[in-house]
Amino acid sequence: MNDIIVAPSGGALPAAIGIVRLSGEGCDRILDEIFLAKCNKNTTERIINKLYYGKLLGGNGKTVDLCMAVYFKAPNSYTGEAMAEIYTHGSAAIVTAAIESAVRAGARYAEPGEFTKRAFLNGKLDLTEAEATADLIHSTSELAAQTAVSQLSGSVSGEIRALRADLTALLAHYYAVCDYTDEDIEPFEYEKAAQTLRAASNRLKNLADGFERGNAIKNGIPVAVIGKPNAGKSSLFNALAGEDRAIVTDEAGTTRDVIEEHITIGGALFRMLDTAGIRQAGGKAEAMGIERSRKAAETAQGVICVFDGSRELTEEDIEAAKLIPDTLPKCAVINKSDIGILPDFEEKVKKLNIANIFILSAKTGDGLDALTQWLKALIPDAKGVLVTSPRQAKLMRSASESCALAAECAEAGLTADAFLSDAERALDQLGKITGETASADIASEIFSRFCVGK
Amino acid sequence: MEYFSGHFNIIVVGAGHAGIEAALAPARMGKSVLCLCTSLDAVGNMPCNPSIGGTAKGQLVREIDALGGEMGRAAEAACLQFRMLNRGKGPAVFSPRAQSDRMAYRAYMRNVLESVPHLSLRQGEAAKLTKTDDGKWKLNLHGEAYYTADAVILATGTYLKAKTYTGQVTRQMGPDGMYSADLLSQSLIDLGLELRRFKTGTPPRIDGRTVDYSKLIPQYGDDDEEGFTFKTEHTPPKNEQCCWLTYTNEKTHKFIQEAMPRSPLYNGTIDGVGPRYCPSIEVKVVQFPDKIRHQLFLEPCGKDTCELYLQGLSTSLPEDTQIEMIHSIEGLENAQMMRPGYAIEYDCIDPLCLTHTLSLKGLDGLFAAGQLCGSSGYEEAAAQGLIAGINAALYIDGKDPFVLARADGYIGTLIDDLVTRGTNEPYRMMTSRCEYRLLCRQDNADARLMEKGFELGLVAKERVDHMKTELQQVEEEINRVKKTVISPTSGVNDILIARGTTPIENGSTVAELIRRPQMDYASLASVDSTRPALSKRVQLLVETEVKYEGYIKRQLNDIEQQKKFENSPLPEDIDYMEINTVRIEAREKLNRVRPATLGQASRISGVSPADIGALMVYLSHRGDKK
Repeated sequence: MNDIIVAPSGGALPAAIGIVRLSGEGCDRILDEIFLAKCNKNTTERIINKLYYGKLLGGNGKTVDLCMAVYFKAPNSYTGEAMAEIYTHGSAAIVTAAIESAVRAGARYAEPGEFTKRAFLNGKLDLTEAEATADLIHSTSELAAQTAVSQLSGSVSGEIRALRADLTALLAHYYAVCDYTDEDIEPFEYEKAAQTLRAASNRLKNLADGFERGNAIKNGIPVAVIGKPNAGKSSLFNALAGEDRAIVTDEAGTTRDVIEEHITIGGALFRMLDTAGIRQAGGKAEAMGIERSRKAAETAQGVICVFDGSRELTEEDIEAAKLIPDTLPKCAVINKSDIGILPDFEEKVKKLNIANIFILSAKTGDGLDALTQWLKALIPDAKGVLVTSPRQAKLMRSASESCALAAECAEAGLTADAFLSDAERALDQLGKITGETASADIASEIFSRFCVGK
Repeated sequence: MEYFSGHFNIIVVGAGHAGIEAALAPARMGKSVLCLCTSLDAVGNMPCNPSIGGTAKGQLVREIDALGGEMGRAAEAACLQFRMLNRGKGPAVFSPRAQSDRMAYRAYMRNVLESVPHLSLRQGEAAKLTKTDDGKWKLNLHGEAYYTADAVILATGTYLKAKTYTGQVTRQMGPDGMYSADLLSQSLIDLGLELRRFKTGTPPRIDGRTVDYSKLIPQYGDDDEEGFTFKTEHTPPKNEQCCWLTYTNEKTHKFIQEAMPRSPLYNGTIDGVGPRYCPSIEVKVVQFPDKIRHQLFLEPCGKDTCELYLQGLSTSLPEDTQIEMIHSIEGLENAQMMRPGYAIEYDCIDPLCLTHTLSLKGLDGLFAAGQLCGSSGYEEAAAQGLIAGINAALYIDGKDPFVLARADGYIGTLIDDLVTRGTNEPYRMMTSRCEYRLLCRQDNADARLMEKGFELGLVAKERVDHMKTELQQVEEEINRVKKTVISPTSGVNDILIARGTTPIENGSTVAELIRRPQMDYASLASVDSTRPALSKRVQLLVETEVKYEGYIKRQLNDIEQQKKFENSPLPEDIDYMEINTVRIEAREKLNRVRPATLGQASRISGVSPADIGALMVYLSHRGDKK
């Protein structure tokens, strides 16, 4: 049997309310020790799934807070076990006190993701849903949260189940025709089969492609920022992030090649990849810096070249800008408009073949809006993005390829016993996505769809 | 007063399709065998359709034959018509089927049972089975005789506490008017087995002299019939009778609808679980109301009788309705019913209590086979009988058990499905159940299994040698067609164009051309000058192996991948209920089946890939602790 775990379940405190969650057989006993309902009834006397008002008790039996509590009976709870939730006033001190009381009463601190893990192990969530919940908990921006939510509601599972149903029906039809030769079942047509398989392959490919976009939403959109240290990149980040800059500098790699700054713009997370190498002036380091800029630009989905418009454009600036692949969206920022931009600076930048040029002041915020708009345009379309797990994307891609191969062989006129083995392969891959036992019960499908028998 | 009637190595209870193979195999392996049957006139009886084989079942018969079983030879001896079903649908689903003379079939089997040394046939009803203090089995017959044995194989078919239903007429009766065996069930319960009730049914039979054949569509057999058994010489089975096709109509369905209140299936009289794949006509009419007609086949029951089996009209409706139904059908307006159809309910066990050798878990030396294990069909029964018989003999000698894997073919798949996934209805073999079906075809059953049958002592050396010679020829010819290049002459291009495929511009190997969907081996004979003279069978094997090489290789690769799991035994002392990381539902399933290997565990319904992952993690930690 699982022991009783406890953890805060709300967001960052202070907030309007704090939530403390308990899970495990016997948590009603713990709830009775730390919560005294106004009606004076203990958990077993109270109605389950109903919210009760009462006192939260601290270590010495004193009232810590006036709060609400609810008890869920197994298996009708999030984890599938007996669960309790206490809704306190949202101060960190109160929530901490509640958890400490619960631990004194016999609960233990939950490990990260442990509630979800229990829910999965008790069959409350399938694999995709469990993965999505983990994504939801760890999502760092609003948009990522939306994607995770759409996945949690079963949209991936739904899509996959629909595709599985199509393929199962196709197989069932063929085997019904083969296994029941004495029944007048509608003939199995290769052309139709090829169409079904093509459609499944395309749909799966689209889903897998969406993973790339979804991945950007979940982990942040990488944008390479190229420019000399004194060009004002740091102040630009501050200006873009505004007052809410929440995420701190992250150092990637031990060589400090690239410094990553996380900024939220338009509800999406941006990973600003600051190529730090150019900080060191002179000689060899310049060459290295250029190489790093190039690498950063390769992994990015957009590039910003930052220039100090108050100083002359250097060879180094030009070299770095030239290395950006043409396929990436790019823009130039001519910074320090507050100091004054050198005459013909913009002309020189234009020659670098950068279409979008923003003249602004990171310090005063003048002209910043245009850059913000440009960055927002980089946000991938979240619509239709359902897949955020690399495992799922890989399985979908493989299933898509199997379906395409099957369609091709069907069109070439190979017998269905052979080409359908690829459809079965795809079916297996799809089963792995939702965590359902991969072996589809084709036989069941045959019996429900076709009138067969002796 | 009970009296001791003798000791045998093995007692087989039942002489139906399972019992026959279960008795013959160990007798041929040198064991003394007693085969019991409630009526010696019912040995090898076909109480349902008068045919052997069919889709997936034909594959089973081929495999039984390759392992040295009797069914294929009997089916050829009693053959009235032979067909290879699913021609044109791909070699994986080709399925041989023979309409059989049921009297001739019984006579053939009776004769074989009586001519094999060490085998005694005896009429008698098994009444009580107990374990003696010295570890033997003691079987009391209904009456006073009792026998002892080292091992017992139960192959009771549909006889245990059998009950038949025709409308409101219920009888304590076995199939075909035989009496039911009502005593043994209690003994099985006393041994700790849980019994279930399954149900099946059969259609009415009519007098062929009263049928208007001019209104029916004849169904002829093959011109080039191949047969079931792998022989040293090709002697095709006889092909002398035909079947007839007709249809039900709205009038038939109206009679059925009207009689529903009197249907034991729908008024709650029958509570046994019937097979979905073998629905009675009343179930078909209720479940598929949009279908205005259903196919019916009239099948001959024998050479010396005019009785016809009405395939497609299985029913337990009242007799008067059955007659109305028959008379509403085109060509059968004046047909006379010879036997009414009926539903039959019987006791069976949950196959999850069996191991892959078909021995009962926790009951050493006790085996089960056939419909008792929840299957349906003569062929499924015979396959199990053969495996149970072989393993009972090996058990007595203390030798390693004989287990066929899923990758070995249909028999392995059938048994693995039964003992791993269980079944909630009588289990029928289907081609869709065998995942390695391109590899495990009916045409190569001998190559896959005959050597195993030989090692067990069930197949004669000449047959194995013949099989090996053929295999050698196949291999050599595959090598030749892969190396032989055909130049782009008008000769070959004419053939290609005539068959609707593109002509070649450069030289192409014979194998490459065979692989084209429009082409086959025979079509290139005139342009393939170095082609040796080969039997038709070898030619077809070469064609299939070449055409489907890519798929066959991949299935072989899949089997190799799966071996990791199949070869990972699960410790017998494992406590599944304590593995917290496995979902509770899956723990319960694992605990119930107690799989022998990780591979078997992964096939249990309700055990997901994630559960298997968790189980593997648990096993690796368990290893650490020890």
